[in-house]
Amino acid sequence: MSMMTQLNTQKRGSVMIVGGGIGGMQASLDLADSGYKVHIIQKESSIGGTMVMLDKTFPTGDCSMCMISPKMVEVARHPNIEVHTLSSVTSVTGVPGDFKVRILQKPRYVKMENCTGCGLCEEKCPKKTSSEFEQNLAVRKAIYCDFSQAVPNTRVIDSSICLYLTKGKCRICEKVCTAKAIDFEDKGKEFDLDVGAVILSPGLKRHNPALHQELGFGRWKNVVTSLQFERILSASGPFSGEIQRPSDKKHPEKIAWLQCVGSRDPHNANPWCSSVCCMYATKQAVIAKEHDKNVKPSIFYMDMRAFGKDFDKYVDRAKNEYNVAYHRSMISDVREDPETGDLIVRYTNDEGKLTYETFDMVVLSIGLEPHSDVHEFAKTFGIELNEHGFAKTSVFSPVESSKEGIYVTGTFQSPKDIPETVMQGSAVAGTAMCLLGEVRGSEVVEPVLPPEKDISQDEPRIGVIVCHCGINISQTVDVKKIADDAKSLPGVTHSEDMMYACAQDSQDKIKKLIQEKNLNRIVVASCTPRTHAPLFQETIREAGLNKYLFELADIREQCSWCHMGENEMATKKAGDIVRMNIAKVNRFEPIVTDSVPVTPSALVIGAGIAGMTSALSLAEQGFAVHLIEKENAIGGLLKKVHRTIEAEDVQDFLRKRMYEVEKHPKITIHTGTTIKKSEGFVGNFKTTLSDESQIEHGAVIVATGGEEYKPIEYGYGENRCIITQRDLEKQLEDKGPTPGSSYVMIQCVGSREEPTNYCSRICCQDAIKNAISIKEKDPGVPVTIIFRDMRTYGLREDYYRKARDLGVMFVRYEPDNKPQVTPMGRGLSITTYDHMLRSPITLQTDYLVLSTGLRPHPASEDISKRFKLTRNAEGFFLEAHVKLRPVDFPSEGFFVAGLAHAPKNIDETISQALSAAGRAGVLLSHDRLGVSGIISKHNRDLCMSCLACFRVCPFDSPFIDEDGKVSHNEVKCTGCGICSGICPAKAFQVNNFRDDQMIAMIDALTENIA
Amino acid sequence: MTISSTIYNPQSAKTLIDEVIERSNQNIYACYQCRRCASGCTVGEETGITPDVLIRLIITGNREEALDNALVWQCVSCYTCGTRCPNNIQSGRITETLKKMSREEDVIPLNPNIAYFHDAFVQGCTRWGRVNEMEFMGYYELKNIGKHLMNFQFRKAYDEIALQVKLGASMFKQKRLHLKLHTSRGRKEVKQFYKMAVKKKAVLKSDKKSGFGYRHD
Amino acid sequence: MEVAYYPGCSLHQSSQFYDLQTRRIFSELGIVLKEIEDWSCCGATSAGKFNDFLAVALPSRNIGIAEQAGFKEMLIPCSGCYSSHLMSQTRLRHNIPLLNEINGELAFKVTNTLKLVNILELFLEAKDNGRFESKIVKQLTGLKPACYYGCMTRFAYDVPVSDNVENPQGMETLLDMMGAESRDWSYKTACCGASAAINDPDTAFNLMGKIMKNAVKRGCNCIVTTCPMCQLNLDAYQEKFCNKAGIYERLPVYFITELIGIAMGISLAEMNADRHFIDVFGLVKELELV
Repeated sequence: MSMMTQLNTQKRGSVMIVGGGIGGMQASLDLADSGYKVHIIQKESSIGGTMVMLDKTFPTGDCSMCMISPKMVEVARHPNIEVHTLSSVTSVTGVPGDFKVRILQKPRYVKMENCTGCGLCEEKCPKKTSSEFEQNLAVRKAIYCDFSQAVPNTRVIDSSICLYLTKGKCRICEKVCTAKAIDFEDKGKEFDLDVGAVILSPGLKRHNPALHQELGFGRWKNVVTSLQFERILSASGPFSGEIQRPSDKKHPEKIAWLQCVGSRDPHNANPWCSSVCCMYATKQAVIAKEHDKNVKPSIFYMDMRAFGKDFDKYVDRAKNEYNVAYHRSMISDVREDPETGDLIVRYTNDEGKLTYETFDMVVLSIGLEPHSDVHEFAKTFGIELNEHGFAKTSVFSPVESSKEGIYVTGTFQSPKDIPETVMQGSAVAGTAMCLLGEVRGSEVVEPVLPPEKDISQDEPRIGVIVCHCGINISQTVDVKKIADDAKSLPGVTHSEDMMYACAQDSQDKIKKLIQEKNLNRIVVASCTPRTHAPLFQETIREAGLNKYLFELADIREQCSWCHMGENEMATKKAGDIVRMNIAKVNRFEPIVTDSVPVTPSALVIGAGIAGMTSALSLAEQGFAVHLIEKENAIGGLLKKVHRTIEAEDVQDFLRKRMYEVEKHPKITIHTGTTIKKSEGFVGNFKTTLSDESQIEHGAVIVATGGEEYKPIEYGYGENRCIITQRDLEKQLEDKGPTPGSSYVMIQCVGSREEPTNYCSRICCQDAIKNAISIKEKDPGVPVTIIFRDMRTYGLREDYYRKARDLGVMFVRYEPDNKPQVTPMGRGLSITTYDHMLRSPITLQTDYLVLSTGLRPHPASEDISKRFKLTRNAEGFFLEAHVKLRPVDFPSEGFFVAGLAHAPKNIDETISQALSAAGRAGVLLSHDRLGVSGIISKHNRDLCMSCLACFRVCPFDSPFIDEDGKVSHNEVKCTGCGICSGICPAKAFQVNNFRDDQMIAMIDALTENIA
Repeated sequence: MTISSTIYNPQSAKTLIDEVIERSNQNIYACYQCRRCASGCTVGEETGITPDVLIRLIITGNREEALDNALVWQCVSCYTCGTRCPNNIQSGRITETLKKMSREEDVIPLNPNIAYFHDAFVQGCTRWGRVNEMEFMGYYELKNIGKHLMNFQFRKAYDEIALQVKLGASMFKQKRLHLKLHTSRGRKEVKQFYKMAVKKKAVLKSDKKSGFGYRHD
Repeated sequence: MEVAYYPGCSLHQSSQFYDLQTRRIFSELGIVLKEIEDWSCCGATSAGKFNDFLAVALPSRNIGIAEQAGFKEMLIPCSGCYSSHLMSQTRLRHNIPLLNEINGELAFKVTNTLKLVNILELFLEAKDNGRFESKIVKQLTGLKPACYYGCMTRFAYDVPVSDNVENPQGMETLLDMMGAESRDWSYKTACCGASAAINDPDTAFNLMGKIMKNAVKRGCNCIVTTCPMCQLNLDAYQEKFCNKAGIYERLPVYFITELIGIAMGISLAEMNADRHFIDVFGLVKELELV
């Protein structure tokens, strides 16, 4: 955490974010939602980054576009976010808190304020070129929009090919544009922005596979990159989601993925591991199989790096349920059968025999690397890069660049996947908030909404929108028919279908429809209300309707996805769903919501490195923090760790961090303390500690940590020669390796196997770290690491190489043929099977070091029950959404950080702790919070005070009032509906789920049955 | 090929590894066990053992099998393995090193012809300054056929003679054989180099690898 | 324009006609090749198998001769000789003690000033300088060559390689310029087995069988090469390895010089193309290129 520089200048309450991919967007929204003005500088014509190009994401199979599109819309419509597209930064001057940034904006040649996004210009434009967005699998025009959900949804003219701009003739687009939006005189502009902090999230580029001609990219048509394959899978992609191979549009059956193209290759490409390819290849194999059950996927790899939360389970499912063949053999070259276009791959099979296999298609899993102009970029901002061209950061402050006030996040910091990018997005936002804590709110504007229309006297005039969701819905459900049928239903004034109802232009269209057709209720038939309802609610509110006059009919998750291939039946069911919801919406009424004050302080549970980091970040942001720790001292698990793999001094860092926490005036530490009782709700918690002190707080950060697994395997505890990595680390720190001795390490002890089938993520690096330490202290000491997959992902790969160079021997084992350990003399004899030699190998050793995994802390069970926070099968807390809400709990006001969430490394724990603090900071920065409208309403006239509700409510919202009868605290109510189900008098009715509304739905469904 | 089980002895393994590293200038330790070399090995089917396994034999200290296998002799030095190896291990150089080590330790080559061939070539070239195809082939065949005769493999000797006579005849017919002796006056220098070479280590240590290949944007 | 010329042993013996063609074509292009005085054998791949020092020392002598004769550039048409010399030169540039040691024995010292060029580089340079412009009298229409580079583009050292190592384009660029329709194929840099054809024929024949099969499947009607070793192997043993691999087709194996010669209007007979084992006249007649 940087010490704030005391300067005489006035700080600015605004932040510039360079790069509007998912990480940059997350940081923007967090900052803008908590009182900062945000400028996004985007090189391309639209924000969105890489994620918009992806088809689906694992493990949920959620459509990537459907997840990111609402975020993009949120960014676009946020009153405190300004997006500057086609722009880049040319210079930065000033000091932390007050930077002056010069921006160069290239001409778009289309006036954003005039353009309606109708697309006629694009249709008529005569000039074609291959589409970068579609990875050259399709063509685009000279005036174009990368994708239909682009934000801003305005076209742009490619000046390098536009006939008018290159040859001086054409201007067809200008002629056809009725909105007069074309502006050939656009010269772009240069302008300055004054901001308090700068966040760099430029993302990465993908490795160019044409550098490896032997793999055939650019030579053999059916060799594609993994990103091309994403586009091939995508419903909005060049083949509309049908899996075809480029040469002959044939449906490929046998598809091979070649891993590490451009990664883990210091000789011909990049030395680092790109961290994401093992999982995306697995995902693509699974999704391909889901698209077409005849697909037979094979993945050629060297180490399966499924190190993330529940990743191993996903790979197991790919293997066992989807029959994905995994071959542990890298491929030297790809040859083409000239007659068929098939591809021939040669590899070493499980029996150690060279095998030729023919595939219909080959996918190259290309890695990630810094942009080619990264050095210039770094120079502009005056920040340092590491030897590989990633931003230089330290393990202990992963989002701080070498220059104060300039922060880095996402893949620019190191290769990482979506959840970690999102997590770091919030982390960097939280860190910027620390710098600019006192100027929060100084540059923002409050949104002005039109007054709500009074519709109480009007008959229902319902608008129905049926969404294609690309082809997610329309390939199974006849969307046009559903829209047509809805037209004749009672109350419906207007009905139509849309390609993506959630896109920015669709939102505009819905608003327009509400005005033009005087609609007073809206039904959108599309996907899940969980992610999309708020978007549409905001839209209709902006059009002057009460936001609860909206309903989302889920015809994707509950229909098209689960009835794939049964089009007729699915269409009928979708019709039923839509009809039911229309019947319900007919009975909707405006709901008036309340707001409650927020206590601007947080309770952080657990004072390990995660808890301390969150506490410190929140305190720096200006919030009071209560940090509770059940042990008698703060510090947590890190107290036993001496060095990071980078050889940095952990104890020194820990001491400093503990000191900072202890001396911070805003932090109150409660050691030897547990929670006795806690009640309340988001923004307003009241907690009693075991020492009877009472705390009021607005947010809770769960950082209960983890503990080391105590092994029962390999005779641990029976023999002094058998130790854990932690024991070894202490030995090495205290006195170094025992001279003349030898060490054998076994990985994955108690990890990656039922009942704890998950990767503990830290053990490979732990082993490498200790092995390097031994070799550096005494090169003559033999060290062998017996492993399953070496998972030194990202830039950690450097250390794996270092360990090999130092002569550490690596032997792989399979879980069904574990190393056999027998005592021999004063040491041990270990026999295992060498897969390269295909024969047993016996090692004598003085020490056997077990790489034991991590377990959630036992205290997490109590916290889980107390706050009703769910955990996964292994006891790690479950986040709200694995991709986009990695530190939020589904229950509002609760956030998670560190090992409580999943095993992770120190830098990742710190990132996540900063992230939780950032998210909590967003919440605590509000004076008041709006209460949801979907709550139970209590009718005291009907109530008999039988106390049935009182007994069952999990949130203690019904209470016995002063008059001895039941009253209801609506602020605590979550709208779960248990009370309304149990109330014999029907005194409880949940808004928008009232009995009459539900009965109307049932009637609508059953009317045709009789 | 089937490899017998290994009793790993770190010290003797280190001796072997260090010797091969020293003489081949290839960092064998760097091996990922990724098998890309095997996948691209030109002679993999013929040898039954691929560079990945060869490297593994060295790493595990299996001197006997590392020095005595088909790959050591049949490797055609096409350098495909090394060109594509992520760790820049040129297995082609390793087989060349192992060939020398193997001969020093009097391991009988599995395929002695190959050794005879290169001997004949180097000797021919250093004798005259230029290689005389007829002469060195004659020398090679003499050794090769001689080996068959020594082993009482008359049929093999006959086949070899028949094959080479046939080839020679067709070469002659296509005017691709020449009887004139080709020499270079500079053969003194060449012979001197040969003498120096005999005294030297197989590999020039001071060579530095750049460590990075040619395939960057 | 004068360029030093190193033919190598093979171009004075079994591939003498390649030597003849090379001299003829370059003289047509206005490039005079000056064979260096008293050159000696480069050691081929055998020297490297014997000893690294020898592999560097043998070619160094020729480099020294060319440099001391005042040449800036030396053409080496044989792929094997070219790669031995390039390897030697690269190592001498990076290893000054070794250079001094070797120079101690050489009458003509190496100064590290010579640029080594292979036959394709020199042709491409001539193309870029417009030397082909008036010379092409015949378009190679209908010729579908499989351009075969062999494994000589690969090195066990980091030497500078002018073409793409995995997918070289030199021959394609030249021949397509002359109207041929070269085809990309999967074995253009595969190894033909080289000396294994003699000392390990089973292995070599299998390799050549694979090469041939892919060329035939691609619809190529000939193979083109710059390497005398590859040419001899694919030509002299074609009957044998095709029979072994069950391939019925036979393809002429041209030197690049022969095809360029045809495009320049030089007759195959003039170029001593009767030295081939597999007939090379039939195809060009059929395509009416002569």
